[in-house]
Amino acid sequence: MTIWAIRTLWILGALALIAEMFLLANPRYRVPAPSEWETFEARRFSIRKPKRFRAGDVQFGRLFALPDLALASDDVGFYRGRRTGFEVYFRPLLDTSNPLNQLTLQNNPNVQVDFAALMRKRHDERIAALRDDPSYVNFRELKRSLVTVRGVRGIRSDYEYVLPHPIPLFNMPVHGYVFTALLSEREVIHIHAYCPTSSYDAYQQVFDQMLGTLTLKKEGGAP
Amino acid sequence: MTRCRWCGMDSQDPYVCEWCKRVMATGQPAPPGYKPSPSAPSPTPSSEPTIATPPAAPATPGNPSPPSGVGATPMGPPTPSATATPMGPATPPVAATPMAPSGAPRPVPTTTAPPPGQVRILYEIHEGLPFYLRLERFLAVVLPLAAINVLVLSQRPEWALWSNLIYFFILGMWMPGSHLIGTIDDAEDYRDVALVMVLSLFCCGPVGALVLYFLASGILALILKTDINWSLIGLLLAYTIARIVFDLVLILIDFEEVGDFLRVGFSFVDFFLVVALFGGWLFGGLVRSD
Repeated sequence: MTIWAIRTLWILGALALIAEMFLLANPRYRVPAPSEWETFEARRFSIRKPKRFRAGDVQFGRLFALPDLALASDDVGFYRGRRTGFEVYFRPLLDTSNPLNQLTLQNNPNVQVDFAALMRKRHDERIAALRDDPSYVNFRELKRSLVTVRGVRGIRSDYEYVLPHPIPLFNMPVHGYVFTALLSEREVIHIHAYCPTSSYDAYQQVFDQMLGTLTLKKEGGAP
Repeated sequence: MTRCRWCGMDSQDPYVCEWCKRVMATGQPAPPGYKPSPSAPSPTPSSEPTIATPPAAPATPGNPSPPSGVGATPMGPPTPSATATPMGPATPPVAATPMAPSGAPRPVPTTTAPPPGQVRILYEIHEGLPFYLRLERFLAVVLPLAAINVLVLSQRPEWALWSNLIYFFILGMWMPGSHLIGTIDDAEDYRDVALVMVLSLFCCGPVGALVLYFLASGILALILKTDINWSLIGLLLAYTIARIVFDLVLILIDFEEVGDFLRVGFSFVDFFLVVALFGGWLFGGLVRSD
């Protein structure tokens, strides 16, 4: 290669690099346009999500990108990096660790079960589990409210915690919420949505839109 | 004794190395049939690389010609039996005595001194191009590839690990390939590579590894008088700059945070990237055409 070809290549490369960085930096946060959303079909529900949110397993999804075939469980998370996520969990309403609970319901159909209290109990347990998790440093529940999503009443708790870093300057506050709603007499659904506090205002709209499009399927798999 | 700059051995003959049989000044093989002149002068303390004149024909009996000393102007009038012109840039080289009688002994074949410009080119081929040319050659490959990698990262950030692995392998391969750094040659190189890999796996990210290695090698150089591995430092510097750019892309698209980049602790990702970098370095050194 002649020297001018070499010179042209590196100058063009440098210009392209600068232009790309400039375009990426402006703007930084934005709600995806409708054309950038897609419908995702999970085993038990369907949801519309931004294309740039990657579906994954709730255990390892935020760390590794797995193919969709690997999503064998009912619980699914949608991630944008490690710090931003929208997770859907299905949990039994009754405490399955205590068999007496199930026996009571099966043998005594006349027993009045306070489903609202049970839902609240499951919600409290979920919040307590987050508080006890050592990776959720300085976890605190900011507020709790009763909300209705597409006609379904549920409990929503906004929370905040800190992702620690060995250099304290880079400790990152994370803002999120847990939404719990009753699915049936046997089951509740938990929604976790979280992102860095600095970008919460932008992502809250994304989370609300995702939550508004979540549609449960019937036993056969159809919505 | 003159030290050969091509093989490093000491040679009695100041013009052609006794060990590697190369012309001291140009590095070219000695002409066939060359014999060191018995009247070779004591070697000059320093020889300029642009001077390339092996000894000329043997002295004519009865008319001892001065040895074609390095850079020395013949002290007497030019003798007709002189077979080579020492270092006259404008003088055309004379190959052999044209009018030798038939009974005269045949002169020893000699080489002619290449003109200064040619010597300079040969010197650059051996010693490498000037730094800025090598740097430009390196950047001509690395910068366009970096632009492509940034495009991939911005569109498919979940492919970051694989995309970066390929990029850093190519970077590690092309850096010695463009003669910007040396190759992995000896045990000390492997030791330093292993040290940086351990740092990347257990200790810290690219910036920390570079700073720690630079400090450690500097202290060792001061205390034990060891050499600083500038090739490795140059490679780590290029790696760190590229990592800063690529991680900045992931930060700008909300895929990563600054805290992810300035890591302290165990990390497989950094380790894999460094392995790809050093793998490329090793491979680039093997296939480099010297």
